[in-house]
Amino acid sequence: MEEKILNLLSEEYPEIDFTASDELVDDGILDSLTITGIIATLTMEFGITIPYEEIVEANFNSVAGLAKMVERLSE
Amino acid sequence: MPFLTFNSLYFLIFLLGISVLYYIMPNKLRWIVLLAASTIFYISAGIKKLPILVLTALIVFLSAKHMNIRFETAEQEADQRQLKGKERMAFLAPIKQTCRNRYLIPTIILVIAILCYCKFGADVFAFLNKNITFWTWTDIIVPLGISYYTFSSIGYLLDIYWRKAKPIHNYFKYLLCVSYFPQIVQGPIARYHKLSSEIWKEHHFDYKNICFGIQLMLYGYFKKLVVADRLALFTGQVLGNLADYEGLIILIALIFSSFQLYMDFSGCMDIVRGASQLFDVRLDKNFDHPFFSKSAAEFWRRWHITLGAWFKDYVYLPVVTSGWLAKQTNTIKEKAGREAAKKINAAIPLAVVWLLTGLWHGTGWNYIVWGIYWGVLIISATIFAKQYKKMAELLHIDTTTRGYQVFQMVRTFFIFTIGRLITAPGTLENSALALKQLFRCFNPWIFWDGTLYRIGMDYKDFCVVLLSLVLIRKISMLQQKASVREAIANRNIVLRWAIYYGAIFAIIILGIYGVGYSASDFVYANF
Repeated sequence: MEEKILNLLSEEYPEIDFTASDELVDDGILDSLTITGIIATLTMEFGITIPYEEIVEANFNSVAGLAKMVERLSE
Repeated sequence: MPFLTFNSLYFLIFLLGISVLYYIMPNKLRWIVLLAASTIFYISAGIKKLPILVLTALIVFLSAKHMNIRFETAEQEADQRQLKGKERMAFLAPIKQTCRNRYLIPTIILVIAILCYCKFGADVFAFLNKNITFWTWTDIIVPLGISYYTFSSIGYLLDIYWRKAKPIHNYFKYLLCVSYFPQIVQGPIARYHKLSSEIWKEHHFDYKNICFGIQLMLYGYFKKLVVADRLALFTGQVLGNLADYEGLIILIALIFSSFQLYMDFSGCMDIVRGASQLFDVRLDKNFDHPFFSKSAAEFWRRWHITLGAWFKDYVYLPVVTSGWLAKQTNTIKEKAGREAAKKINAAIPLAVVWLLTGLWHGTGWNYIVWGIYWGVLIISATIFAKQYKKMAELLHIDTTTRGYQVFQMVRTFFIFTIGRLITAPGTLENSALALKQLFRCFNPWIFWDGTLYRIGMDYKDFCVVLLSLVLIRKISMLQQKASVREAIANRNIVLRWAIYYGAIFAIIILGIYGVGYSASDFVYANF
């Protein structure tokens, strides 16, 4: 799952190195517009709805965090 | 009782008295001094305004309290049953629905209804008065800072509903957060968990804090009284009599109006944050040198930061994560492809935010057009970002050079100034007239034939404004590197006090006070 998400996001945002940090939000690498794009990408790819409660830094700070969230919401 | 407006001598005396009382009282009781001060401050704006604030705060407080009790009871039961993951979510779902339907939505509707009554009421009553003979009620009470505390209250309720913050258990403590006098008039828009942690932390009298607070206030007064109110003399004259002026005079008035708004609003924020620092209560920054922004989106991350953050957390992200948008995204993906779906998905939440941002700033059509103007700019920059990048590559534009970055800053400033053309003249008809007058002639001779210096500001006023803007720009550039206040504090006593005296005398001598002194109101105090 982690690899699939990494490939998907790297293709979508080639200018961002998603492996550069485990604190993508805290380090300012992801802004709110990019987060919106990521939500749209994941929604379309996995057919999930990401509720507002899931928009926390822990879920978006790393690809691993995103993968865990997608797995949780896909169950 | 005179209104304790920030640029009055009464306010300074009031602030001094409250500061002394605050530090005389034991730490535990200091919040009561702030509550009493906030109540006096609010009453000074008109005692009739107070009941609406107190009642709104009570309704929001009780609603949040009851939601929290229901959530906590249900969560305890879920803990006892050791429910986790989806089971826990399913168990809590009916409680969430009850809280939403019984407390959250009715309370939000009520506070927005009060806001609408205050914002639209005068127009509606004027219409009724004109068309219905027996209708005589035209008196609208507009509570001080209603837009600010309404937004803060909605944020508080949603934070409790989303379980992102704990409620305040004492109504009077909550009332203090709502009415805290330095920020009630023009913000920054409070986040209760942040403000309450600042108010109820351990406070000690700290000379440096007092000093820094006063410095920030002086800087704010300089921006407001020396620059903004001086520019207001020119802009007020031109934009208030558009038919009498043309060509470059209109352009200069619009550019001055941009600087005036920034100096007025950011100056007020400096006064507010400085006054609050006297009580060792830090407030959020509302400006981060917005005229250094390279794009419209960046500008709005640096201008009125707390309003942008509020819209992001309580409108933008909830729309982004709504089931409705997810459904639309998937439908568009099936019909028009992935790229189109992504673009629509990015555009809809921004469109909602900008329409509401326009309405928040004013109820006239000019503000709705203004919201659409910014919305279109930011949406197009977002959804066509890749195309813009490709275009720059095709045209061999090196976007990393200093020259290009300066061009981007100037471009952003003019985008902002076009926005001022929509709102500053007051109505859309006046904006059209300003545009017509702007292109009516090209009259560069106004710079040397003396015309320019007979419109509210004389030659000396122009020099004061230009020198002040250069000084403020220099300070802004230094602030981006390090704390200017720290740098002043580290200087020797002679230089330090020379700077303080220089600032005080500059405000006293160069400030615009007029006959009998009645400084202009702060622009954002009307929201």
